[in-house]
Amino acid sequence: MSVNATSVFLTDEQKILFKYISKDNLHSISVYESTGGYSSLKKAFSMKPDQIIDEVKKSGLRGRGGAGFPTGNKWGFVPYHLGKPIYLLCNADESEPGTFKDRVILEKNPHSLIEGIIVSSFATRCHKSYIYIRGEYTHAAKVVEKAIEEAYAKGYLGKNILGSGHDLDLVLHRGAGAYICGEETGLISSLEGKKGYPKLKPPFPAVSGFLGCPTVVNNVETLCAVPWIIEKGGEAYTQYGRGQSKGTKLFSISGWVNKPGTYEVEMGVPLKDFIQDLAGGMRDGAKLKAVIPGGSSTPPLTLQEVETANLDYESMTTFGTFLGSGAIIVVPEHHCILKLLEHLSEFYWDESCGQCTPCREGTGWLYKMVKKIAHGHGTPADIDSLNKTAKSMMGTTICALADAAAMPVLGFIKKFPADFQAHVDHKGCPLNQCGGSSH
Amino acid sequence: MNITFTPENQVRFEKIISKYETKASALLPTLWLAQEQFGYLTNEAMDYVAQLLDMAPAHVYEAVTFYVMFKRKDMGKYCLQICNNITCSMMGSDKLIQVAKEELHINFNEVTEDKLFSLVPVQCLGSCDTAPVVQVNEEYCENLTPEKFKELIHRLRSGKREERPGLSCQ
Amino acid sequence: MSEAPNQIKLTINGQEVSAKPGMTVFQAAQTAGIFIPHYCYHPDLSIAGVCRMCMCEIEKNPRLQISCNTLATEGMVVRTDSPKVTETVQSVLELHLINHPLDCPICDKAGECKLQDYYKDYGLYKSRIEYESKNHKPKVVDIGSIVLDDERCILCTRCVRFTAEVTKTHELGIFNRGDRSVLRTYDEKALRNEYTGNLADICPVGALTAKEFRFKQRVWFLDRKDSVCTQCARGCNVTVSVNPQTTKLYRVEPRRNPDVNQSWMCDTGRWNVHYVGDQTRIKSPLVSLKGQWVEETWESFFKAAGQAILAQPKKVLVGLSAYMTNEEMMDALETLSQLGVSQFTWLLDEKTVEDRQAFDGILKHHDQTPNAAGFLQIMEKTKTPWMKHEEAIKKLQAKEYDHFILLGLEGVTMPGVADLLVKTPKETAVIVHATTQVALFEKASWVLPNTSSFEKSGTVVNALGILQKLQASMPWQHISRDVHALVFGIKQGNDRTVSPTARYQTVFKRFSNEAIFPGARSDWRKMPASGVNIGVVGRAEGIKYAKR
Repeated sequence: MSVNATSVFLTDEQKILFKYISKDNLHSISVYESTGGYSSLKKAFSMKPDQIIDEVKKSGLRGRGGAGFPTGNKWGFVPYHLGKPIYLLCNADESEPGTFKDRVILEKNPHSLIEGIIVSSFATRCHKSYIYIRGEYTHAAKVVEKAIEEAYAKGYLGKNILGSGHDLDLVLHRGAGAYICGEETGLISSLEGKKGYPKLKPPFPAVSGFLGCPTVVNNVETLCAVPWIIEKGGEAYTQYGRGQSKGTKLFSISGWVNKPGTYEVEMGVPLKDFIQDLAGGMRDGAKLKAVIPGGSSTPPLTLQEVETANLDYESMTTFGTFLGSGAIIVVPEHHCILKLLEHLSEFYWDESCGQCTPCREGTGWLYKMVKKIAHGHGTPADIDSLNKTAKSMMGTTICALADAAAMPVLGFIKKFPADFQAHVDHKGCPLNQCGGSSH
Repeated sequence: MNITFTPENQVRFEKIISKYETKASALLPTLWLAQEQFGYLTNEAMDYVAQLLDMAPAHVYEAVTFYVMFKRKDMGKYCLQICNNITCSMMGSDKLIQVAKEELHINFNEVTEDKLFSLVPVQCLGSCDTAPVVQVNEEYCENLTPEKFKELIHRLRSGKREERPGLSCQ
Repeated sequence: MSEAPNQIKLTINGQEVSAKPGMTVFQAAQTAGIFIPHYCYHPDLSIAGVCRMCMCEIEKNPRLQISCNTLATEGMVVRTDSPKVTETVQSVLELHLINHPLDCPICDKAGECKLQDYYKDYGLYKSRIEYESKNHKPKVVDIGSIVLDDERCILCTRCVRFTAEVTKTHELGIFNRGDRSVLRTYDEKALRNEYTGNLADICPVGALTAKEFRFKQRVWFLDRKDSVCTQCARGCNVTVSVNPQTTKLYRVEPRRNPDVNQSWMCDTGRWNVHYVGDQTRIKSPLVSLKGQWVEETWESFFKAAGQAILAQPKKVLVGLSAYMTNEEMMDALETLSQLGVSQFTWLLDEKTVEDRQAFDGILKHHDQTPNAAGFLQIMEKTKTPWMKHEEAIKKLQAKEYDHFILLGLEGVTMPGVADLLVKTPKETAVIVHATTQVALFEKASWVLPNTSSFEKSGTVVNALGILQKLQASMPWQHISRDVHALVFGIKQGNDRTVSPTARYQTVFKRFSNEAIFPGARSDWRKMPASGVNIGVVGRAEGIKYAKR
C-alpha cells in the first residue's frame, strides 16, 4: 500500500510530548534540562494562576485519562477562597486493558510530568500534590521516585520554587492492585487509606475531594501537555487537531500488528493510516476483524468502520464508541471475538469494587453469560438476556465501571452478532479457542 | 513472628507518615513496608499497622482484602504473575499458563511444595506492546513464548537463588 | 395561609410537595407520604447510595439520580413513577435477587423482608438465572448474638455504618471486592457492643438475624404494640410483639423517635425481658410461714395484712419504685395518704439518680429505672414529703415502722433495693410487691405478684424530661395486680379491683389539669406516640454520631 506518512503524522520536531522520547537518559534531570526541560516554570511563575487556567481553557485540552473532560474547566471549578488546602492528584493508575501510554512517560520522561505538575499546581493554588501510580508499575515508580528527589535537589520542588514564592510538595504514592483506583474518587478514597470505593457525587472532588478539601485529579498525559501550552500559548495548541479534539494525543496500539507501541499523533488522524503506517500494518498479513479504539471499555469498530474512523472524540462518537484512553487493540480475523469478550468481562467482574449492587452482581452475571455462550452452552435466549442485562446496568451506579463492563458487551453483540450466533449454533467455538485456560 | 518494624524500617515508616496529611492516608505505603518485612500480612501484622496508624483494624483488613497485591499467605520465592487479558491472550498467554501449570504442577493461587514458585493471575500489566507478559516478583518478562517461559522457569529453579531475579527476558 | 419562609416547593409525581431546605428528594417524598423503595438508606445513618433502588427522574437531567443523595431544590420536578424509573428499579431489583437464595420458607425475615416486598411490588415473578449458577456463600456465620447468612446479604452496609457511626466499635467490615465481597467481623470473633440487636432490625433482608428470635415465631402471628422500654432512664421507644394466642412475649424492637433513641435500643432493653414469662415470676401472693412460702389469695392478703397496715398507718413506710408509672404513683400517694400513711421513700439506686443524664454516650443511662424523673416531679408538685435512703434507714433501724411496703418492683436487678432490705430490722414486717422472686425477699412476710411493664399502661418521664406512653401488650400474667389495684385493695379490704384501663386514664387526665406535668395532654388518646417534652429536667445531651 502506498502511503504518504509525512503528510499525516508528526515529525519528532512537531511533537509535544514525545519530541525527545528516544533520547538516552531522558529520565535524568540533566538530560531533561538539556532539552529545555523546566523552562516553562519561569514563564508560568510570571503569570497569574487564572491566566494559566485561561490559557489551558483556550487550548481546548481535554482529560487524557479517558473521560475527555476539558481540563481548564475542571480547574476553574475549584473554589480557591475556602481557606482549605487544595490538592492536585496525578492519576498514574493506568489500568484500562490495552493502555500503556502513561507508563512510557513515567519510565522515560518523568521530569516532564513533574514540570507539568508544578505548573498545574501553581494554576490551581495547590501546595501538596500526589502521584498515584499503580502498584504493578514498580520500575516506573522507582524512576519517578528518583526524579522527584532530583527535582527537590534542584529547587524545582519544595519551598519557594525558583524564588517564585510558590511552594509545592510532591509525593509518589503506590497503589496495590485495583483498577477502580483509576476512577478519580476511587483514587481519592484509596489515598485516604480506604478501599478504593468511588464516592457519591455530589459533592464533586473540585469542591470536596481528598480529605474533604478541593481536589483536582488529572491524568499523567494531561499534565504533561500543560508546560508546552504555557510556553507556546493555548492558541498554538489548537493548531493541532480539529473540532473539539485539539492538540496531540498518545495512542498505545497493541494486538495483531507489526509494531505495537505508543505513538504521539495529532488528533483526528485516520485510524486506518495509524494502523498501517505507524503500527506497521497487520502481522503476518492477517485480515483485520475488529479494533477496540480506546481501551477495553470502548465498543469495537468493524473492519468497515476502521476504514473511515479518525482518532478524535467526534469521529468515535459517530461510530457509537469512544476515544477513551487511546488504547487501540487490533483484533485479527483468526481471533475469536467471544474469547476476547470473555477475558474482558472477566476483567470487569474481577475489578468491580462491589459497592453498588448493579455493578457487583451485573459484572458477575455478564461474565457468566458470556462464558456460557463462548463455551457452547448458550441459547439464542441467552444472547438476548446478556444484552438486556448489559443494558440494565448502564447509568445505574456511582461510577462508570458498570457502564464500562456493559458497553463492550452491547457493542460486540451489536457489531458481531454472527459470532455469538455461531457459538450457539455450533454449541462451541468455531475457531476452537474458547474454553481454554482461564483464570 | 515478631510483629514490629526493624529499627531501619521504623525509620522508613516515620519518613513515610511525615509525607502524608493524615496517618490513615499512609496506609498503603505502610502495608507495603509491612509486607516487605513480614513477607505477607497476617492478622497480627494488620493489627500492628492499625495500631501504628490509629485506625480501626476492620479498615485495615478491608483494605488488605481489597487490593490484590497485598498477600495474606506465604508466596513462593518467585511469584509468577501471568497476564491473560485481551492482548496477552490474543498473543498466546493461554500457552504460558499451560506451561506454568505443567512445569510447576500447581494451579493459580497455589505455591509449589518447595516454596519456590507461586502462580498468580494478574490483570493487564500495561505492557501490551510486549505481550504476552509475565511479571516475576517485580520484574516484567516480556514477549514471552512458551519456550522462553519454560527456560525462564528452569533458570529460576536451577538454584540460582539470587534475591531478585534480575532477568533478561528477551 | 401564609407560606413558611424556610420551605421550598417541588413537584414529585405531579404532587406539589414542600420541604425544608437541605432535605433530599427522598426525605421530601417521605414527608409527603410518597414511598420510594430503598435498602441502604437509613434515616439515622450516613448516606451510602449503593443499593441504587431509590432512583428518580429529574426534569432536564438525562441521567436518573438516586433520591437519597439528591438535594431537593425549589421548583424541581421529580418523578419516581415514570416508566424509565420503574424499569430501572426493576432491573436493579433483579440484580439484587440473582444471587439471593430462595429460602424464604425458612427465613425469619419472611413477612417483613424488603426483597420480598419489592419483588411483589415490581412483579418480578420469573427468574432468568438457573439455581446452579448462583454464587454460594456460607449460610451460618456466628457473630455473637447475631447470625449472619452471607448468601442473603445484599451488602447495603447499614450494619457496617451502624458499628462505625453509632457504637463506633468498628467490628464489621466488607471484605474482598466485587461479588466476592462478604460482611464479617474483622477478626471473625463475636460483636463487641451492647447494641447488637439493632443490626437485625436494620438489616433489610434476612442476612442478620438475632439468635433470640431465630426460628421462634413467624412475624405474621404477632400483635404489635407501641410502648417504652423501662430498663433505664432513657425510655427508648419500642414496639412489643406478642403472640395473642399464647400471650407470649417474642420481641421488643426500637421504634424511631429522633428525640429519644433515634432508631436504636440497647441489648439489655431488648433481650433482658425473660423475667416476664419465665418460672421465677411470682404467680400468686405468698406468705412466709416458718421459712416456707405458702400461696395465698389476694383476698386473704387484703384482709390480714391490709387490716394490720390500716391499724397503725403512721408506722408504715412505703417505698415507691421508680418502675411505677406516674399514674400508679399518684394513686398510691393519694390513696395511702387518705388512709393516714405519710412516710415515703423511693426505690432506686440513689448514686445513679444523682446524675440521671449520665449515659454511655449512646443511649444507656446509668440510672436503670425508667421513672425517677416522674417520681421527683410528682413529689414536688403534690408537695408530698419523702425521705432519701439514709433517713429512711435511720428510722427503720430506730424501729419506727411496723410495716415496710415496697411497691411496684420489677425485674431481677432492682437497683438500690438490696441495701434498704438488708438494713431493715427483723421487727419490721416487710411486704414486697414485685414481678420476680429473688433471694433478697427472704425476710419478707408477704411477697405479692406485680404486673410487668408489658402488662400495664400509663406514663413515665425519661431523663430527658419527655413524658412517654407505656402501653400494655399482654394481659396481667398469673394473678398479678398493678399498683392501682393493690392500693385500692388495701383501702377496700378486698380484691374487687377497679378496671385498670379506666384507672390510668382517669389519673392521666389530672396531670395537665393540676399542672403536675405541664404540657401533658388532658386526653390519653391525644398523647402523641413520640411523647411530650414537659421540660422537667431540660434536654439532655442527645446522641452524637460521627457522620461519614
